[in-house]
Amino acid sequence: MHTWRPVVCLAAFACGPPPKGVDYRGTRLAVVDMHLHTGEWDEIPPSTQGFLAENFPFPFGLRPEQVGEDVLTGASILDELDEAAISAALLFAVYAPRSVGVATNELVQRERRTDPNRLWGLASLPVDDWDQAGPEALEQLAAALDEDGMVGIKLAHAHMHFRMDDPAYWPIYEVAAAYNAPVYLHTGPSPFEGTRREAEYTHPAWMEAAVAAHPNVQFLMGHMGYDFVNKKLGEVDAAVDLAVRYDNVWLEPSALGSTGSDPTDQNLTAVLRKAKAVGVAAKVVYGSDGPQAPGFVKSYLERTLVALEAADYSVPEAKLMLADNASSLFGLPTFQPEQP
Amino acid sequence: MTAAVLVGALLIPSHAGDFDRQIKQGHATRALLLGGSGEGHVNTGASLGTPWITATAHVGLAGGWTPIVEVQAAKLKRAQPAVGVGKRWIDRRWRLSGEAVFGWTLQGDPNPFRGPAAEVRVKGGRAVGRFVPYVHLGMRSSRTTDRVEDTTGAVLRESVRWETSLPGALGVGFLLTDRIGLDVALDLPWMDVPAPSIPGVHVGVQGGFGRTR
Repeated sequence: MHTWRPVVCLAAFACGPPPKGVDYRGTRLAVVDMHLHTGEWDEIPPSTQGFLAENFPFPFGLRPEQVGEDVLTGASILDELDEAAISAALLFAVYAPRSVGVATNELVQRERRTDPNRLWGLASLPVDDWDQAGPEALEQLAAALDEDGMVGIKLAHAHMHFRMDDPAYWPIYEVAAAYNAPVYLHTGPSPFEGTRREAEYTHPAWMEAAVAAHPNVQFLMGHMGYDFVNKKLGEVDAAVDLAVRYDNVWLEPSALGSTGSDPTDQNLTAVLRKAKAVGVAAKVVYGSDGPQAPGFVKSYLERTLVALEAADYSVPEAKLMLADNASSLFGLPTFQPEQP
Repeated sequence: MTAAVLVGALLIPSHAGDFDRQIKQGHATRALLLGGSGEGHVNTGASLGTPWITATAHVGLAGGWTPIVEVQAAKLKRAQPAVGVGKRWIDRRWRLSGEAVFGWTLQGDPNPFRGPAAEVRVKGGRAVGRFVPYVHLGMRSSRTTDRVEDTTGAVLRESVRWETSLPGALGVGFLLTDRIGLDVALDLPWMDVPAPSIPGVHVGVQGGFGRTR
């Protein structure tokens, strides 16, 4: 576990988890983090290991294997949720061996069993050699969605190297429709080595044909098209535009407001303002893209609350974003905040 | 056994008066922990701890000037070789000195950092018989260049990154003999401010030779 945490706990003399929920404009609200990663350190490519290691407290970033293994387990993720007073979370499977690595559906199912009342999973599938291996991959995806607690699909065209507009991959959305499984999409240029950065792989507008062709599938525009390479808003407007024009498009502003990805400290507020300005504030879903490093899950939630206030979100809008949208989209229980 | 060791340790300072004599003020432990070797002294030290391992050598010149060669390593993944100079400012029962070193930061995968570095530090403390309580405070700045490449290896973005750290330590040395001493300390470096850092500990040994007056 986190070797420094016992020291901090001893110093503080009290380390029970805080009651679940946050205060927003005088109202207690429950929180669901719909974007967390589990995994095995050895399955992460070295460049991505380095990205994660940068966020570990010195000296753990120098030899990050141990912390990396710890921070990615279901038990550690629950610790992070407790620390942040978050009720529940979704864990992502990932099949991107050429960029950010692999976290199998089986691994996600195993880790979510740490507490199946608080953790759910999004399944994914390998897309390499699609012409030959596609049918089997789709069967594996369907099998994963048959498992308890696997409530959606995670895709990242940039990391997985397939175009957003390629109809050859639309059978994935047909599986999604069959299982009533929302599809989470990474959008926007990614800083990791081995990712595709062309518009066809990153620009939300390139998803429009698939979105229009599958009105029964709910699509979440992960990161809202944010440009993580240049740490700028990138194609946020395109993501917001899709959410305006299509009922089945949702917005998820994870990671873009972190200290590392937003040097201006204004971008998270800016994307939330954009959504509110065009009337889709009620279609934003909260996610952090943690755990990244100990404390990140809590830190991102705190930064999000500040941004929500700055963007003038009402309590009902914040309630939808922080928990209720995730519950309704993914069929989770409706979470209630705990009183302090 | 434990009691005997404690009693022995308590008895040693009863002879501490000898170490208050002026000619012993250049002792290696005092020189390395408080800064500023005595003229003509060559003092060397090494420490073993977590995460830091260090080795250093000082040569005492006239006027309290002290050329320094040192290398610090964290978890054998980050090395900080440097050369520089120290100067004793105050040298009575309390000693205060300053050091400036220039060198390199060499940090390997998965989070590489390679580039020039400079560090200034202040060392202070006093001799209390054979004991040398001390504090070190410093500031270190390193520079590296980050590159983001695409799948073909083409550089998409190249940017200079500065890392500022605030090294520090709080410890106590102990003079074993005229030429050899030990220290134990809490290392309190704040590396890459404002990212969080975890304190460390080390045990060190110091030895010196050369003129004693």
